[in-house]
Amino acid sequence: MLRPAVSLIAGLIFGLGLVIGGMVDPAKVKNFLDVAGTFDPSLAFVMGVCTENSIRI
Amino acid sequence: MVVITHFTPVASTIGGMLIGLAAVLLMLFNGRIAGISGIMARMFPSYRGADAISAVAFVLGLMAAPLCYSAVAGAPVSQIVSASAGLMAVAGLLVGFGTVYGGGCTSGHGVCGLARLSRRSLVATAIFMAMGFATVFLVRHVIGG
Repeated sequence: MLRPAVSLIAGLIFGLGLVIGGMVDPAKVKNFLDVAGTFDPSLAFVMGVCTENSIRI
Repeated sequence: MVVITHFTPVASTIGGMLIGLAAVLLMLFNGRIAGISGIMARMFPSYRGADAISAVAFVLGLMAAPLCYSAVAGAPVSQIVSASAGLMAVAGLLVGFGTVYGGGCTSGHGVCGLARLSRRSLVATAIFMAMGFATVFLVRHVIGG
């Protein structure tokens, strides 16, 4: 019973992270990949911070 | 369609911290990698293991997140989708094929893999990011420009 409950909460936190970080917006993700045009480095912040945090914990 | 989006360092940092927290929770309590493509795959019969219920629970939580956010924030989630539904279905299929074939996605290889200092994930992330940059460059500046 614990595993599905943890999964549900983890999914919710993960989703909130995506929403708050703006990573549910395809326009924002595509602009990260468009270095030569309308570049938006937000994705690097989201990915950098969560990777760095996970390593530390 | 090219849309200008604004750089959101603070919101993205908070978002990143939450995703990191979710990944750590899943690893600590369930011993699972928070790879969205892998979790999605485990919902389907051909990949179904003992963890199918947990996979469904995770996806439900994921889908509930934007609803919770808009309920609290009082505003819809900002999202600009320029593709048609048909194109998105084809793109989704390609993403599914690519992530199963590549053994992970942005979350599995990119976040969890890099955090675990996996060399395999580092190579995968470098390759799919490079391909992403190249594809957008080609579509927006070579073909579209």
